[in-house]
Amino acid sequence: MFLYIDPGTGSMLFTVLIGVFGALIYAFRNVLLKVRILFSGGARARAKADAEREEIVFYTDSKRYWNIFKPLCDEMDRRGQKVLYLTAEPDDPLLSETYRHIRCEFAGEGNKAYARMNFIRADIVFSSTPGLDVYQWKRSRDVRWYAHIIHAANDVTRYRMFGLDYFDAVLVCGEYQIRQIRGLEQARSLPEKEVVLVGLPQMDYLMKKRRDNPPPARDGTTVLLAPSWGPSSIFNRFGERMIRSLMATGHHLIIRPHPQSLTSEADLISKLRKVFPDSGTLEWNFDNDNFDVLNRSDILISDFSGVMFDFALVFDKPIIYADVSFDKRPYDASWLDEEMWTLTVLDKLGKQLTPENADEIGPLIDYCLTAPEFKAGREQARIETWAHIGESIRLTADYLISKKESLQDQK
Amino acid sequence: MSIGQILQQLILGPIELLLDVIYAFALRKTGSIGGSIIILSLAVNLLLLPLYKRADALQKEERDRAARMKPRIDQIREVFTGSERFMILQTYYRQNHYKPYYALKGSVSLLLQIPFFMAAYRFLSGLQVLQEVTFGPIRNLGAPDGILQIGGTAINLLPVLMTAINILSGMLYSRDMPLKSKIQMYGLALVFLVLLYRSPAGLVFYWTLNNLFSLGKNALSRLPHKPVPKIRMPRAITGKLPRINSTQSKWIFRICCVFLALLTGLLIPSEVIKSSPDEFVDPWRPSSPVAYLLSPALLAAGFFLIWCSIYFHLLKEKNRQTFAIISGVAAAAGTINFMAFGNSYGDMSAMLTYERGPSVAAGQWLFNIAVILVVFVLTALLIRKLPGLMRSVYLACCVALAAMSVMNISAIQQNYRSIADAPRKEAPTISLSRSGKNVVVIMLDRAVGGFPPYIFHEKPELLQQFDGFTYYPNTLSFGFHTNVASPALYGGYEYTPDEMNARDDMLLVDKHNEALKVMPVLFLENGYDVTVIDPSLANYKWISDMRIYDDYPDIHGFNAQGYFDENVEDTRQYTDQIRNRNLFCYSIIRISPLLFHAEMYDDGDYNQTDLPRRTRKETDSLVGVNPSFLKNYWVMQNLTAITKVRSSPENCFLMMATEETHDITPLQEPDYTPKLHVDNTAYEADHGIRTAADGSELDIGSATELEQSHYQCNMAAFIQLGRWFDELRKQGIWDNTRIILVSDHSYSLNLLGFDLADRYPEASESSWVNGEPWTITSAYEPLLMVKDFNATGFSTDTAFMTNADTPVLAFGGTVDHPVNPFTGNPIVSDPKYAGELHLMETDWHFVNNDGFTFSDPRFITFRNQDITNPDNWYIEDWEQED
Repeated sequence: MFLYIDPGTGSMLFTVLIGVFGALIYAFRNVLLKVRILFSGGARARAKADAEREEIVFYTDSKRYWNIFKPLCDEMDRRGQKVLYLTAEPDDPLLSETYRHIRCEFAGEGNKAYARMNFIRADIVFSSTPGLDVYQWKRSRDVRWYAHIIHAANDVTRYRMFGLDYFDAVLVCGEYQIRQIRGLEQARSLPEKEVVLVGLPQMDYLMKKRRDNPPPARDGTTVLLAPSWGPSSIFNRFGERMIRSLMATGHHLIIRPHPQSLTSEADLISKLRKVFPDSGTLEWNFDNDNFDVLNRSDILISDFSGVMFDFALVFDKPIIYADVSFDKRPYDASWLDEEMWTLTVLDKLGKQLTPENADEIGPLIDYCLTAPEFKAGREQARIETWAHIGESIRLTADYLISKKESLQDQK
Repeated sequence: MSIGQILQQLILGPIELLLDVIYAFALRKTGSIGGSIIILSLAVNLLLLPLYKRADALQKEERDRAARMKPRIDQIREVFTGSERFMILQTYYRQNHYKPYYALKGSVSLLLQIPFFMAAYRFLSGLQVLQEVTFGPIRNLGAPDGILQIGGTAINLLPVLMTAINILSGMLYSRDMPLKSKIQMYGLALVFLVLLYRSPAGLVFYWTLNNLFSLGKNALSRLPHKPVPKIRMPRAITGKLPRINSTQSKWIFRICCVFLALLTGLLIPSEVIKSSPDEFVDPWRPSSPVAYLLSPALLAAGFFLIWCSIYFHLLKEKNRQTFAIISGVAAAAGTINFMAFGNSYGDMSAMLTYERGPSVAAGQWLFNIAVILVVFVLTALLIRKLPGLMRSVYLACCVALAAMSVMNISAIQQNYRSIADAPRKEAPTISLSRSGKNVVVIMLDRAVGGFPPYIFHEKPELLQQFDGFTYYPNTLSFGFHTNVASPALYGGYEYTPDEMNARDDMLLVDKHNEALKVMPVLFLENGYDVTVIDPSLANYKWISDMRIYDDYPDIHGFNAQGYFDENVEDTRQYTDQIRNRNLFCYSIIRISPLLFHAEMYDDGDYNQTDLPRRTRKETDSLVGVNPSFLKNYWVMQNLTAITKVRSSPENCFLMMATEETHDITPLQEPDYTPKLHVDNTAYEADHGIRTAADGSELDIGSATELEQSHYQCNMAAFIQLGRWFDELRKQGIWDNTRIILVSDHSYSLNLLGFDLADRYPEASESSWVNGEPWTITSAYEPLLMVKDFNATGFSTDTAFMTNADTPVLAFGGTVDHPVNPFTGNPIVSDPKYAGELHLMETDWHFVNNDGFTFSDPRFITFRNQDITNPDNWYIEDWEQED
């Protein structure tokens, strides 16, 4: 008995089957293509999808940035540009605003907000929140353009690592920030982002507010002590000694602890308040809005924080800064060799508080209040870090609308 | 098969097979068992060199990358905690195009070694040919070396040497690496020492050579690099056409791998089994032959989908395009090789051995190479110009292959269901009468009519045993194959090919079955006790379907083939092992260029090292001998045992067929018995030229193995019949028994007869059909020997006979005026005296040739009743040479 393989019929069958399946695959592809057009490319479907798509979405994780988004929403509404404002805080004051073209919505808290943002459909998402595509907030496949706006008048490298890397555009307020962004892109081999110099909305806002609310006339000097929190903050390093020597100067003293201290260091604060209760010359301040307290103070003593730039550049007053031992490691700053702009400019805005001069705080204050070099220093800093003073909202709105139009043209 | 075995066959199977093939090939060429280990090691290492080189490069890449990323990763770990740390790290990895599993890249060469080690371990540690073989100072390659003897304890030196080399190589390799890598290196060397210390020296020797190779490689890599001359690829691959991009390369490669896996793992093996599923079924313990597809499928999947993919993914990007194109060419050329070439090697057994074996003329393989080159250029150009289209084409081909395989599988399964319950599983019995008449017809398939004079002269004792027989040398058959030639034997002249074709209102199978019933039914109707054993192709099945006699419950029908098999379990295991391994090898041969077929086929051994006849020391085991020969051999051995002599006066008729003379195998002379190790050199040196009583000679000694085996198996049948005849004499039933020994056809042996093609030179191309020459007259010269009641002496009668005379011979004096019970016509011999007789060659496979008439017939015309005269044979369709 022997096997018998008949390759003749095999090859014929093979040829026939290839033909049949080839035709089937071709036909199937055609049908697939048509179905796809029907579902996604069809005119009606496209119109429907476009109707669901937002043009511009503003997203913020905190009402703190109200001073950016409020004026921007006003401007967009005035220009008739539709915007969806999404906030992750339910008590965001913008939620109670009424606009014709702006819809303000609460996106939900925590993961709910991310879930919404990660699947949102929009031409542009514009935000002051960093960390896109690094933390839970991922880029949505249906967003064409992510733009970020800087919300402090100093280094963009003060964001936590990779904070700006996955935005398509960053709106900045100083030339040195553009250099920093390019430096980071190079260090990480990332494509160049669009970087646009628009200025600083929240500082423009403060400036306008200050123009409308001149500081009340009063005698003497008011010193604002607004420390940060944590082991290296002024309270922890200088504590009672500091307050005591400040009181000894005879100036009016306002102490405004960092909101975080009230929870993290509640014991320390309550102990200090017991030792130094409110009096004619000492005042504890816990206002939500710091405008008033900044407005009526003559000098600010603080650790190292953004408020110092508001105080120096908007209110045009000197500062005394304490801790400059800034641990760069968690931040983008650690990727660049160049010294941070902030650290190069601080000594032009005021004096540093050190253990050596902490007891001599009186003369230090007097010196800062009178020395002309700080006035010039503030001028210089404004040139460097506050471009287009007063124009940031207009420029930001211009940018967003023209970008939206060019994206829509690309479709 | 358990999941573990499946995984093993999938991952290790292809490597083990590769090792086996390389080793067997080296052994065949060098004859040195130890030396072949060196060749094996060299071959495997050279084959893997690019892989290891790339793995080393990857490892270095990975080490560099890790070193580059380490400071930032440390920084991130120091300053971030919890989920933020995780997310920042993820981002950092992403920016560096790094995935955490890339760390494995550093271990690729190590990971690669594991399966290769396991496969080598499994292959060499169990390799039987190494047993008791001395190599240099090693006394036995099949056992631990024990070279050093210290105080009565044997110390194995080879593993120690291996470890020393391993450590030296590791020192070179890890010179600039961190301590961790060094410790890993030396630790590994120790692991191998422990693993291999007690292993057979052959295996340790192999692994030592591998380490030596790696030492050399590492030493060379420390030398300053010289630019290596680049191998120029053909323009079709590298030319100025657009490069196909990496995604396209990847997809074309993947689809082609799936294609090749389907082709070699499913389609070709299923074609083989489908061609005759019965032969893959043991009727005594039936299980579906579809199971035989699992092993080739796993081997093919492992080879093409796993190992080729690993190879591909380890390649550099730019080499992948080349590899993708090569895979496309392999798929196309492989398909063409399978479908258009190498299919004329003749019959193949279910053990995947050809009767004649691949013999390829230079012209054929040159043509094949030319075709492959054209396919190469065309495919490569098409892939580069239209990669998208080609991808779809290959995909369509894959679907087509899968569909064809499914069709084959379903056909196999359907056929299996129809045979699973066909054989009668009863003990066969031959009933003969002491006082009545016995008529015995034994059909010896393909027995050669020209052999008896030489057989009887070589074994004179047979003359005594065959006393009473008349030998008819001038006998003709009407065809070359059982489907066309046996009906006339069984049913007489109403079943010659011409007559079969004339009754075109009835299916061939029904006419065939009818012929098989003519004698049994007529004898039954005349009061005979009728026994039928293994009637040829009953119901067109390899395993005779005895249900054709269901209308005659008094006929005793038996399936005897396979019933008496000895070493059943061992043989079954051996058969399974051969099929599981060689179905895939056969596929690979079929997709390869013709040039390599003979070497790959290796006389049917498919380059397997541990064949029973190489490794079995015990000579009485027959495991490894052609199982289908043995099935029939054991039946013939048991003729005496199954013969029951009755004292009742009832007449008896026996009709029996055997394939012993058809499913031939080399036998050990001078006893002509099956042996694992057949060596006839000495006997053939003295008796090579067989002579007949009239002085004519037959040169068996220098004949081909095919011709020798035919002679030997014919002889074996005669010897077994002789013994049975002695028993019949002893039982006192010799004289009342008529015995007809007849074959349906003979075989086209150049030893006998003459080749009609010599007279028709321009037709020589068509003188081969299905891998066999059909124009050699010996094919139509069957055996016919008759012993009548009370006959004595041995005589030769040159009267003109055909095997269609069988019924007339059987009925002579036993049934008066016999009439075919199905057609009503008298059973006579007259038609043979007609002016001319037509012999037919047609497709012998009844699965395809199953219509109402025989397909594509070729005719030989025979005249004048003398087969020895060449002038009596004509092929009318062909023009004769002047």
